[in-house]
Amino acid sequence: MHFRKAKAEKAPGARRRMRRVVCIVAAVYALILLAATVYSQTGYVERLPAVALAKIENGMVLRKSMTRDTSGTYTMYTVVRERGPWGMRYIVRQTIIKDYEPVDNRCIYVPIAESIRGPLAVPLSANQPLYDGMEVRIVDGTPVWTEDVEAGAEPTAEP
Amino acid sequence: MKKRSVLPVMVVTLAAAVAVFPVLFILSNSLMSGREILSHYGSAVTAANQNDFIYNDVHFVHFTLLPSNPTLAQYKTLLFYSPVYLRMFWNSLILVVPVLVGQMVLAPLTAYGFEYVNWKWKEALYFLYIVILLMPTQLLMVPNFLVAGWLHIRDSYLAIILPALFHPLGVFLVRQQLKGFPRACMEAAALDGATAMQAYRCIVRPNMRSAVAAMLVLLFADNWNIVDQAVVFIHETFDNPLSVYLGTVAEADPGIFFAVSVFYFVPALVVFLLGEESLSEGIVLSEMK
Repeated sequence: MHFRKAKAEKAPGARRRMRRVVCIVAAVYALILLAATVYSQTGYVERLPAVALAKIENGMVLRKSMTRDTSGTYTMYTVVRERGPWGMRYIVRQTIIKDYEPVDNRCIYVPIAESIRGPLAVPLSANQPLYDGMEVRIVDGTPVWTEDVEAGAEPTAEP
Repeated sequence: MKKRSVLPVMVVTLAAAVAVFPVLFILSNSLMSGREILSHYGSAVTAANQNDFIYNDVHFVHFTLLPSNPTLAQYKTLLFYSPVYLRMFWNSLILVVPVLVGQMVLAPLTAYGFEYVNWKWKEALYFLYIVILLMPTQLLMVPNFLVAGWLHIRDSYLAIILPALFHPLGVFLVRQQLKGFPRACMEAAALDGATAMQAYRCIVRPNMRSAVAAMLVLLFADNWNIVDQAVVFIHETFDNPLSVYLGTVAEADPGIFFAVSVFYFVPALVVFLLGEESLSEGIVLSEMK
């Protein structure tokens, strides 16, 4: 009986301690969340693989913007701008090239490159191997498409 | 000395274990690396899981509570390399906070109106409230969808927030508690010349704290786990709350699924623990036995 009474008297104190612990957990959680949110809009973007852009002119594609597998098939990487979690972001898209004609050590003529709508820019350099769906940041020049591109729409070239 | 029966203790322990197991499972598995998760729960046979049960070159799920190499890698990936989940978390918060704030103001006022203000169709309207409360959410989404179209708020959080602001659960809970509130207090206030609003502000509202807190905990759980409304009204992926996207994490990012789950349930747990006392008190006072 005495034990029960003592336990009952202790209960409010224990409850207060529990409440304090929960408040501390909530505060730490909120801090982590805020810090991660700030980071996702600053540090995260700066740490993305950097790419430079170049135009495809008359179907001429820079070799630097392509990779070649063991079977000889080329993959061309382009950049599209689309809506991301915190505004617009740049995403790498790949196109498998089967029909091409080597021009020189720098360029390859790709007939379908002329018909590719939208992304007229091709990554020139990247500090990591490119892959489809990779999020990148643009350096060395500005994107060639206009600012009025709507979310999800194909970017268009400047006149 | 009073002899304790073993059976009820066993039943309660078993029920508690069943209830707590998912939480423990998620917590412990969130300390595994992405590779370990895939080796335990993926269907592909790898060097790491070749000793598990495999049939027709398909690896079967191997449940475990103990990570072989505990790591915070999942949390690191979630917080520093997956901004999409953070955005969705904030979306969930943007949906929940206005509903809770609005209900905190509207529900006690409405309940007060139902209980203390006399007007002709009061009970009929309250009956309608209860009927709406008992209706499944999916049934109410059709009229909500039509009204959202008329108001041009489809594909907007308002389409979810506005109906939730007037959800009858809060009114029901607070009115049930108001029924037990001594009428003599109200009569004394009226004799002292207090207006209806003054009586509400000075007498009723301060005494409704536990009912309002209980209502907030229940509404938080309800709106934090919102899925159907968001799927119907919000079309843009990045505008969805985390509850909608949680189902696809297991396929899209299996390596961080458990960390996302922990990240998701912590706010609900905190709200419950902070409001636990008020919740039980509010429910008891509301006579919902």
